[in-house]
Amino acid sequence: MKFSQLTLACLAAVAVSASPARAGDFLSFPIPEDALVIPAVTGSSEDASIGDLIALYSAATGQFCVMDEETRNIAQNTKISSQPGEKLAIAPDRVQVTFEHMLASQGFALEVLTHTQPRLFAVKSFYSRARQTIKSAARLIASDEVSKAAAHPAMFFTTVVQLEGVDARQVANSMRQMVADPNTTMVLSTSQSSIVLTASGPALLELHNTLAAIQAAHAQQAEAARQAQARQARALQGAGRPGTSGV
Amino acid sequence: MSLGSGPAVVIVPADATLGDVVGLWGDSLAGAGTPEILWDTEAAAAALQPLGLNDSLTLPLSQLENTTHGLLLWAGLVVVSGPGGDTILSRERVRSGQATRVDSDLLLDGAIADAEFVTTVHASPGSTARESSLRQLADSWGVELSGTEVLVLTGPARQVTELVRTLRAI
Repeated sequence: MKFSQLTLACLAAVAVSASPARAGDFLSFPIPEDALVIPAVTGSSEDASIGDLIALYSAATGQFCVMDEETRNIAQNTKISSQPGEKLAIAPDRVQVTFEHMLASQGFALEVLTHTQPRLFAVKSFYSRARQTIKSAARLIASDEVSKAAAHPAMFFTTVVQLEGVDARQVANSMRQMVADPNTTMVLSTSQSSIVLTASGPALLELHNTLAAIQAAHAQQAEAARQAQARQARALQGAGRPGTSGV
Repeated sequence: MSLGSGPAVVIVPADATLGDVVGLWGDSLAGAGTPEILWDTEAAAAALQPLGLNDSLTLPLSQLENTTHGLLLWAGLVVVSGPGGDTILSRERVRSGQATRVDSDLLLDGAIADAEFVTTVHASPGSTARESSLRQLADSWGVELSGTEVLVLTGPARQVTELVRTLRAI
């Protein structure tokens, strides 16, 4: 089956005003010129929805969002907030993180579909059938760059953490009890010394920091044990010399 | 049709469907003499899905393929390459044997479009690697994984690439 061509005009020599993001630089977002104004929340049925927020975000940033029909209906029927509040002006350099925070707080995720301008994102709802595909959109990020992911509460990332002198399987098993939703978060030991983490940006940073703390605590214990052994060895050595006390 | 000189663009209207965008992509390929893109019967229903854009989208022609593949993945579809041209199928219906064999270096270089259904091989991360965990990892990305010392990875190019990158980091 094939679909007939849609008649659309092809225009040439359109100046591209913004240089495209580097390939792979998927955490580069444009900063709008003006503040993003979020309407006041009064508790009435007329209050802005998540669908309205997405439209505001797209208009302000030039980034485009797609949604399937189920998600679109959920977005239109989900208010930005259930708590009444004043009109809010979001500073240009805070638009991205605030937008994602509002999405995440109402159960939506943001998936990067394209890297170059104009960028395309998919919005998915945790309460839709697309829920099961949210983890598959996770992007690998280097362990030493996890702090960059923390500014993206609606996006999902994967990182690999290498551990030394610690049983990765045991650590992963204990940390797995911290995971509230296995559809969106994963802690997996893939070898004796490595753990793969998948989660939203801020959650990924928390898990990463927890592993770092476990590693540091283990290293301290190991050092303390080594020093205790060294003292004991010195004590035994001293007791064995001729003329020492006790002889 | 182009006017003047410089890079061409396409305009995707706000009420466009996935099928409309794929049609544009197909037209751009037809201009280069590439065989037409076909839809599997079951996948065709996804073509009617509106994108839900808030405004019309102006795309440089050079990004049309990248954008189309991103949208296909979003809709749960993959592209299977064959001698007669490309076919779009549902991810759930495609068979492993339909995957195009590619070198993992090509995936890492970004040379394979995101929704291409591919298979590649990669060495296991090491003797201590846990097979069940690697399978679980692959499954989280919707990638089929088989083998022990040499892993065979099959799935959409984007997800296979993420898995290859992760395996190299383990």
